[in-house]
Amino acid sequence: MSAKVIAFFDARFQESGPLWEALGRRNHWRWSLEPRPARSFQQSLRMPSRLGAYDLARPEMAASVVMAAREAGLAGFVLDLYRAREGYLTGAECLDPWCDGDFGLAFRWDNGPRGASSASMDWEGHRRDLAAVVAAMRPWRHVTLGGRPVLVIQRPHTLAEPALTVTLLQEEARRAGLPGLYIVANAAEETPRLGAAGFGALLDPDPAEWVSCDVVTPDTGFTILQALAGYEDAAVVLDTVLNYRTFSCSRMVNRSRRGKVLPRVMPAFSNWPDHDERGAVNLVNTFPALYNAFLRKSISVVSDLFAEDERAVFLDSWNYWRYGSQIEPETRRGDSLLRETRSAINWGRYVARTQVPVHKAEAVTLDSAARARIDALCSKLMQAVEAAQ
Amino acid sequence: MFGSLAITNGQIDAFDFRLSSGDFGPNFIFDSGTSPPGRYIFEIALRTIEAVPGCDAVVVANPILPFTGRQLADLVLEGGTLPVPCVVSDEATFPIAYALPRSLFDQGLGRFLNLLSVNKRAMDAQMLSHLCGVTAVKRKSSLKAIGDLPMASAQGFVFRENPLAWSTQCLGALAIMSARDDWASLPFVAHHPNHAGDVMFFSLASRINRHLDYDKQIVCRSYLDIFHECGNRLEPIVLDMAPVSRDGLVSDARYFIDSLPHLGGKVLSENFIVFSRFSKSYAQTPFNLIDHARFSLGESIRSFEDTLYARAPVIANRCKHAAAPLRVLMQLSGGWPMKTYPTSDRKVLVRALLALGCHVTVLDMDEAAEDGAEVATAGSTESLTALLNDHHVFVSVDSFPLHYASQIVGHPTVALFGVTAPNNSDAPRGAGYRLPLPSMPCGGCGAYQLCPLTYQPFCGNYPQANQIIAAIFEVAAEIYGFRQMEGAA
Repeated sequence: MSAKVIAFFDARFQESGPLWEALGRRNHWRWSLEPRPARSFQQSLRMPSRLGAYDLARPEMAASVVMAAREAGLAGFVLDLYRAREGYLTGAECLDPWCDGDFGLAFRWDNGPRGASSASMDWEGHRRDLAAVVAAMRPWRHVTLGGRPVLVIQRPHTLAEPALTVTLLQEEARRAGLPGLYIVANAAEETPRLGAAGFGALLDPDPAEWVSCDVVTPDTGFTILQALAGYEDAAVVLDTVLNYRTFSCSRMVNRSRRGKVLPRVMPAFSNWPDHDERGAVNLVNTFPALYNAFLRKSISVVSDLFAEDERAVFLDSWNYWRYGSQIEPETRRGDSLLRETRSAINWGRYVARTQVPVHKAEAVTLDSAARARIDALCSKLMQAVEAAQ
Repeated sequence: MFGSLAITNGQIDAFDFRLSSGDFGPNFIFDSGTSPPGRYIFEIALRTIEAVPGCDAVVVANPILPFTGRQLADLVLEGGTLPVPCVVSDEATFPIAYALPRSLFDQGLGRFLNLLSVNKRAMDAQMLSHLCGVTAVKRKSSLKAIGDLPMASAQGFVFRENPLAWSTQCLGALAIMSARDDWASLPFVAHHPNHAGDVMFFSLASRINRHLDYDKQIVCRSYLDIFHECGNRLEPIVLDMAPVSRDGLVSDARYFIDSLPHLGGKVLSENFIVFSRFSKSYAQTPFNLIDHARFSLGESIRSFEDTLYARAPVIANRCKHAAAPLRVLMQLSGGWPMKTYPTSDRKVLVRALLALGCHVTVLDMDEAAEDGAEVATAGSTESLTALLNDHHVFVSVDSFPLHYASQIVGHPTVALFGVTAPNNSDAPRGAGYRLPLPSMPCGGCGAYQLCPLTYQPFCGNYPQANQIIAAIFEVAAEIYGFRQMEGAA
């Protein structure tokens, strides 16, 4: 079975309803599309085309969005949980009518910056908060991993006791009648603290949180001074500029050694609208064909490394227009990213079928002790080889 | 996007077909790099007739141009009823569509469409005239002149010198058709003489196909043993000419053209020779090169069950020695420099296996002796088979020995892929076959001498030594019950 591709989804494109009310009745399209870049490495924002500036509160528009995602081969959307006066809102009510067993919803919880220490933590309040998270997730049709609804925790490193939070979430989920949760921590590497916490898997963070490759930097100090003086583009000095091809390759290096980390794939990313002075992260030289290769390889890797019902690739994003990472149809490139998405998913499905053994035989897999022995030996020998060079 | 029309008593039905990226269905066409554009015209025509069995004629757009059925209809019908047969061109002379009578397919002449030039209207019209027995009309459309073709198209067609090869094969066919009345009964020949692995792929394809549009294959003399050893069902025509170099200085198209005089007048006058090297980029597809070849040779491949992965022969070969000590044979260099497994990783691989008590033999790499490996040479399929029988597990980069060991001999094998995409030339999974994962999305770049990302003369996408060793021991345990690594702490 091939991997599920699940896209992060911004449900705030609504002009009525509880989420719109709770977020101050903001025109979310305007907020998403009006920023203008200040430097040349900052890509201009694209404009929506075929699906238009939709209002998810209108059922026919929400239906067309879900239909487009299903046609592209996606397995579901990840919706953010927004704190409201009582509990959380997600906007899932707009999308759920068009979901079923083949397309469902997952959720992301931003647990906020580091709070109180474990000793001074209000654990009863924390439990109530977690119960509210589960309550906001529970009513909808879910995309599942390991047979359970998926919850992404945005800042696992700031949790006072990750293991306890995971345990409490699982308890609340079962109390709510769910079969537990598949909890995904937004983290690149399994630290001892996260590793023992009981997460279903980790998830590669976005490019702003995890710069996994060398940045594009000016060759000389003179260029830096020129840029700072305004004679050349200052983005390479003031922002982090990453070449997409190098970035996408770096994200896939040594995946088999990084543990159970699900890939996050994005066709583009540029968060300059929220960093107009400095500090933006910009992926440059993005092309649909490179995105296709990144997505294809990610599907292939999770198909190779993970259990059949835990294979997922997170797509960042379906409609984050403000960061330019959307795959929705847009005026300049049309449907090209949707087509590349569908093509990569079809490719992955085909390749997955080719990897089903045709000769029946009991496959042997080395145990972890044997692998550790081989790893240690090779690591030692590599040091010797490198020392000799 | 390919467009076609079915014409039934003046009634037009328009169809859109797409190249498959792994999906199968009535409107997806298998994507084969080794097929000339004419093969797609043949396939699309057959699919269109299947969709409208009662049609009198079909119109197929030139497959190197992206057309929808509707666009095609608007262009070719703008001058009124379309005569059949007919070649419709742009406002100049570039062919954009072919109107083909149904009878051409009923008479079994469809395979001749493989020979169309797809870039010379006059030639193609002559071809249709011969095939249909009446003069084919040449009709202009209002489409602006196609102009110079780019290096390649978004659909994966590679141009450069390829249009010249397509024209040359068409010209050769026209010469035969003009000179002989019995042309319809003459054999079809696939011109695919080069590269050991590719000769093997075509050979295996000829064995697996239920249907063959070809009778013969041109093969370089130096690869004749592979042709025979792999059980090719086609008759060989031997080319006494050095195989083309992999450095790209001579294109496949140029080599095709240059090789024709070496075949001799008799061969040229008695055979329809089809350019069967790469007209399209094969790395843009998820399909195995054996399936690419099968489509070229006439199989439609319309479902997963039609592919190599469901139809490959089951074979199993074993080492003649007892399971311990484990004997490992390696091929760590391939057809071009960037296929060579990186030096430092190779040193670790060899030294680690020796430290674990294995015997290691490396093919055609003298420097591996420095790390304690035995060095051997396999200059023929016979000597390679003997070496395989002398070792428990074979480890190989993407090269002829890999494909031969895993798909022809059925020897326990660990496959290594770096600059090439595994799915284009792996073997069906099964006991005794492992493919440690190359994981970077740059994989399949096909770089020749330097990595286009790092500018280093090696590929960082290859699996590391520890992954390969684990795979070797897994294969050894699976096939020979070798358990040395069990319980190791």
